[in-house]
Amino acid sequence: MRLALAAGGVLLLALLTWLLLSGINTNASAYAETQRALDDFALAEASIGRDVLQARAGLLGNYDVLAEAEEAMESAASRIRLHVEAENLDPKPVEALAAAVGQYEDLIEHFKTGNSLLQNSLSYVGQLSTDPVFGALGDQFAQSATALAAAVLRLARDSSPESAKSLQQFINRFEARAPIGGPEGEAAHALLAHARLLSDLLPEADQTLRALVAAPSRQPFEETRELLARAQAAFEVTAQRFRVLLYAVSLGLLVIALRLGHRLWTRTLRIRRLVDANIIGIFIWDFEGRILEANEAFLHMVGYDNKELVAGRIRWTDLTPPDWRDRDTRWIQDHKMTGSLQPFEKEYFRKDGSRIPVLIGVATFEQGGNQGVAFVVDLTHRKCAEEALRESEAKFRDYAETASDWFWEIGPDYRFTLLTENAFGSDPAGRIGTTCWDHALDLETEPEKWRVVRETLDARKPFRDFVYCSVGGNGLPMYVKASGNPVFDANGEFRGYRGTGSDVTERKRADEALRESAEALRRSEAYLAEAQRLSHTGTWAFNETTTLYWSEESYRIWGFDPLHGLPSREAMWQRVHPDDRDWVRQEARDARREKRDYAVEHRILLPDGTVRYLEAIAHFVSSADGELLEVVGTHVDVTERKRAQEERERLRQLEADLAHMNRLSMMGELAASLAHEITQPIASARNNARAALNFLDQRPSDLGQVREAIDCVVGDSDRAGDIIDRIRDHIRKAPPRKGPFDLNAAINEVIVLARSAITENGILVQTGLADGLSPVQGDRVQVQQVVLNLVLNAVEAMGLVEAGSRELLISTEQTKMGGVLVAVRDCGPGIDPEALERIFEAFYTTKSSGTGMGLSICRSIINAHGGRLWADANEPRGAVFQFTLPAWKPGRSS
Amino acid sequence: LLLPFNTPTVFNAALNFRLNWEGNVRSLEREAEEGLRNPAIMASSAEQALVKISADEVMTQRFRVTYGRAPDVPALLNAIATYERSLLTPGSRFDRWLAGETSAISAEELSGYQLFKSLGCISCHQGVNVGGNLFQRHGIFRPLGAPEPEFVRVPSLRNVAATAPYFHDGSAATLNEAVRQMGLAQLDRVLTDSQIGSIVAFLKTLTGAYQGRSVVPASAGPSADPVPR
Repeated sequence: MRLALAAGGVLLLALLTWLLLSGINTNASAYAETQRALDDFALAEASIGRDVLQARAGLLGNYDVLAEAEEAMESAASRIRLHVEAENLDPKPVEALAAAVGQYEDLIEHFKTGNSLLQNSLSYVGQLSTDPVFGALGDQFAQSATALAAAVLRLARDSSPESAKSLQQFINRFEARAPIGGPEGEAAHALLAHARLLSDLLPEADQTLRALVAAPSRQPFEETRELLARAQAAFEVTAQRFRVLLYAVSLGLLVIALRLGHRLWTRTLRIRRLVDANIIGIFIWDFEGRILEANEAFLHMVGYDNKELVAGRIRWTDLTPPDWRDRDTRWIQDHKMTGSLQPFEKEYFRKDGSRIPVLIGVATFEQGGNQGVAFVVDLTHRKCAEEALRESEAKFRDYAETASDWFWEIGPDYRFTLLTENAFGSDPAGRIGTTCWDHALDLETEPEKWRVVRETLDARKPFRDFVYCSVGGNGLPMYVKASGNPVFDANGEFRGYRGTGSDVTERKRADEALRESAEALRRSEAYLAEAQRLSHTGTWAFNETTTLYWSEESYRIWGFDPLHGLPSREAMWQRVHPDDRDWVRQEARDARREKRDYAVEHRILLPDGTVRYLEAIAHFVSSADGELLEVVGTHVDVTERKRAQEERERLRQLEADLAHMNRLSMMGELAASLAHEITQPIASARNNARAALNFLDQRPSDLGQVREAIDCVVGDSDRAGDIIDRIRDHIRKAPPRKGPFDLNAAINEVIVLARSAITENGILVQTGLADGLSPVQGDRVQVQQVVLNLVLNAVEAMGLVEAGSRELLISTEQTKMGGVLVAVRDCGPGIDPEALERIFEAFYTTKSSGTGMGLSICRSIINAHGGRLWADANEPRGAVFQFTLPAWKPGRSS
Repeated sequence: LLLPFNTPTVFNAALNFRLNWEGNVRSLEREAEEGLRNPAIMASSAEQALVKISADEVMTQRFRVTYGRAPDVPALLNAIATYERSLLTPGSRFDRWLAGETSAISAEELSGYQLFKSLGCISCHQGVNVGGNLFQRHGIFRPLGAPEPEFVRVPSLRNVAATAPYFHDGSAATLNEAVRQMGLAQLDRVLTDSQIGSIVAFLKTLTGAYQGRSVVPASAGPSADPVPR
């Protein structure tokens, strides 16, 4: 504090000094110096002006004065410059001034040089023009010499061009008459030389003179002076400002000092009032034991009057009972060691010898001083109150110790400050300083509950019957029910909570068991309902007369509203489809009579016209004597399953139709060539038959030959029949069959069917059919349809390329997986790689005449057989279509 | 390395308003610095001189006493210039005559002075240093020595009798020759021998004294003569 005060004082002093210094225009002396320099400059300039004029008039004895003035001017200029630089002012004017000085000096030098010659020549002209030698040459010549001199003088007075011109005329005139040789020739020559020199020098010298008198430094000088004056004015303004500031700060300090003084005075008055108010006893003492002064209150406490105490007869050491003197000695020691003292309690003797309990606070007036003041409070009343309080606390303690609930207190930080012995079963001491949630086990499982409690606490509101799970004194979970009220001190400051707690573990366990069983029940019902909903299964139960149970899903299936209660048996029968009602009823009656379960599939018709397919199962429960007790049943809503089945069937039929259409169209395409295939064996058969007839007609008939011919006829007609059979197979609309067949044989048949179409197009067919191929499984006709499709596509594709290179290769091979791979390669234009997959899409076609269904149908046929069909580019050109078929596995298929 | 011009005397140099023939140096300090630096004179520098001076304890101490600080370049140059400013030779017979001592110069010398004035020499050689305070063109009527520089700082005529040779190029070996040439070149006058003798007699009265001793030509060795009274 003292340090801060001292620092403040120093700062203030520094501030005032600074203001004072800033307020004095320290620049003033420098400015005066500069002013002197400016004056010197002006003086030098003036003296130069004067001296050059004198010099021109021939009145100046020597040029030293000019040199001195120049030097003075230069020195003044450099002094000004230094000042301007020191003040950081605009350097331009002073630079201009320096430049002007330089210019000025040049002019002066120029003038001096010219003027010295000029003065010399002038005197020569004057002297020579009157030289007596000219007189000897006659008056006229003498006159022209005088006239020349006069012209020179005129030019000396007035160096105008006219005068110069006139002088030149006189020079010419004189020169024309000038004698040569002899003393007179010499003089004439000299006169002419000087006159010529002057005619050059005079105008030039006067020009220089005019420039000098015009003083080139005038303007920069004025500007510099202006600049300096302005800077000085600015300095003065700043200084003025600081002076005003100094005045203001001083005024402010004065006001502060006055206020401080006033405050000190009022404080003194207040202290005086405190002493005089006699609220507490005050006396002034010294270490010798004297009482120097005491107020009424203290006198009243100890029962003395002022004179008795202050006279020094009674000392404060005497007022202290002997058993308190040690305490006094102690505080005096403490005070000497530490310099301060806490108030303490002691007793004083009254004048009547009785004792008075007091609280006393002492302090010396100054550090290490001998005198001090003591403030004394009478504790008599407080001592009584303390006694009463002790009694009430004892009562409370007795009550607390005998109650089964316990008491607790927590501080403003919600930490336990008090717990009675029985708290939390036993051993509560360890919880002091912790919060109740430090021991809670349900803090994480029930955050919401705890959040509400914290809110209540933070709002300083009372709470009742807050139940939470803690750890009991025995280390086991304990449910605790707590209630509490906030506690505020006399200032309304929140001090914490206090309240009661009790162990409710037993009750809580009972509650929890009850709730758990209810919950389990609710859960199992929910699971059942969920399962029924997922499986579209409803359950119901009837007895002879009434409906006993009707599950949630049953309501949904049958379209009954749960809000209307359990539906009657008759209402249920009403919803059975009219077409099914009678037979289902009959079946139910039969089952009941025969005491067996029944399972039927029937339809129900809902009021909104919806038809549902149900699978119903019923079970009759009878008593021991055969009396029917109840019927329990389930019904499964199979409508969707039924619909899906129908849909699949329809799709399959559609595919079969499409495949059939494809076959028909192919047969149509092949009709012409097939006709040839059929007519050829028929024609062959006819030839063979004719041959047989011829052999029969031979005498003797060659029966061997006949037999051979007829065998051929049989073979031919078998061949034709086979082809017709194949055509019929493809044209016939038949359900697909699944069985093992030889794929190579099937492919050979296809080649036969397509042979005419192939050869017509000039295509060479090659086959690479693997030997010993395992049989495949499927519909022979459909697989042949696929191969035929691929062959015809290839034939058509190759129709576009030039003849001679049209080759078709059909090959089969066993795959590693045991299936069979069929490849149809052509040398056509190939397939655009981007279109490789799209070609299998329905209605995709590159042919002008195609339906765009062929390859799509092929792929669905192969897929249905569990195989795969795909297209690739063939090497070196064309396309290759390949498909796989799984091998036949005996017993796998019916 | 040769210097381009005839070296002027250092006596009374402080009274010249510019230094050197060209008048291109304004202060003795600058001249000292330039003299140290010039390869044809000292071929060194003020800084190098300072190093040598600083190595000399006595010299360093003297600088401390005089300038209150260790020697530095400004102090060094100032010391040299100050010394040069002391190299004045007042008290010539002409000075004394000007001061009123009529017997200080003879009648012939006086007539030489009159001639000096009437011929116009005084137009340029005037002032305290009898010259040295203006620039002038040389060879006005006839050439005077080397043409460069066109303008020269007019030399002082104090001690002129002791400072042969003459002119910026040192082309005049004797004073008589110098006076004769000046008359022709600058004044367009052919001076007679008696005129020249008279003027030279006057010029000899301009020889002063330094520390009580007459100024004598450098080649003559130190003068033992007391100042003539």
